Amino acid sequence: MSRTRVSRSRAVSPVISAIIISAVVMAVGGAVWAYSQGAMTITAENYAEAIINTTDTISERFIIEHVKNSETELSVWIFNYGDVDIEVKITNPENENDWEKVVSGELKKIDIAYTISGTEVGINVKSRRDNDAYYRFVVPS
Amino acid sequence: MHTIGSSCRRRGTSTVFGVMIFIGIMFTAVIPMFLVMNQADTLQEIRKVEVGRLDEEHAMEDIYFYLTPTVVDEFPVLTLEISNRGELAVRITRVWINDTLRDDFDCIIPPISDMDLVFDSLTVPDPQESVIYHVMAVTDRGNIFSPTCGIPNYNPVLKFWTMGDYLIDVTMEKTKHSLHIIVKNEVTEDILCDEDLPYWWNSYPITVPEAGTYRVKIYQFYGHVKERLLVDQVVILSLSCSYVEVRVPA
Repeated sequence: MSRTRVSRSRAVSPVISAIIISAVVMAVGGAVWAYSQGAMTITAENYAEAIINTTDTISERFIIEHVKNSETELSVWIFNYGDVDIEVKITNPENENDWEKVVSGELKKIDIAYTISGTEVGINVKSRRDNDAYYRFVVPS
Repeated sequence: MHTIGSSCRRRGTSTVFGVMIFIGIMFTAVIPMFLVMNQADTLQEIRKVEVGRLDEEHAMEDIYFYLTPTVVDEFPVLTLEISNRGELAVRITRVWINDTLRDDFDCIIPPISDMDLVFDSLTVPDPQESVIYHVMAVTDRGNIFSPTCGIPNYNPVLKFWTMGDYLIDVTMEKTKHSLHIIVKNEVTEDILCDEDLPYWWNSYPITVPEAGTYRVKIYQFYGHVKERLLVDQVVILSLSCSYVEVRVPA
């Protein structure tokens, strides 16, 4: 019996073993190839997206051009003189307004409900990419 | 001999496949990834240069404007005499007269040249009371300029213009430190302003009662310690120049 087994295992052809090994290499290699291609594509896309976001952040340019007040309202004109569109929000004085889109080159008026108690107020406008613009508004006498 | 040689060749087949797959991965995944990353870096560098150039142009804009108030057919008229003293052409996109926006003009002023803009139909809120006209000109590069000759004041009863207060306007770029401003009359040595400013103020106008020579000193705070003298400037206010801007260096 044992003689028979030995002779059977010896009978496996070197050709078949080479085919099996090649098939394994191709299968594993193909899987690694597919995985690496996907992973590298995602990595490259994420990197490019992060760079584009950083580029947009450093390209943002906006100012608070003018401020006007009434008894219950504060109107703020924001001028986007940069090359990218921005989304801004008045963070000081605090208000419940949503993000407002200001396209490149646009002058946008944003109204917030606010009653000025003193003679002046500091206005802070923040962009979604975390840039700021400040303005000190002195209430006209 | 024949058997051994044949066996060696067969053993190398999987290695060849492995190497081919490795080269395939290199050319279809790794190299394209580095190319994309490199391209993104290049785009960022280009953008940085463009933004730097825009900022430079923003800082290079240098216009002076004077207001000539007149009365035409019993209505107040303001003429802006804008003088571009910079090296770049300047495009005035808007003019604010108090809270009224005027953008019904297209004004591009070539370098080292002048242009006049005439504004009639000015708003007179109360025909019985004097009205002060604060005028600002805005350029497409995001600069805001105020007149260099003071603030005009119109009396609708007398139909007569006067020039308003004398003003020292302290302007500053964004800074992380608080500032302290001292304004002193050089002759009488009266201190007209001795105040701390939060770091985020961008403009601080100081009204002085009369024409004269004033010394403006601006210190920078580090924590609570007044440490560095940023500005020590003598300014002269006169009938012909009732407005002076003092810029705090960034």
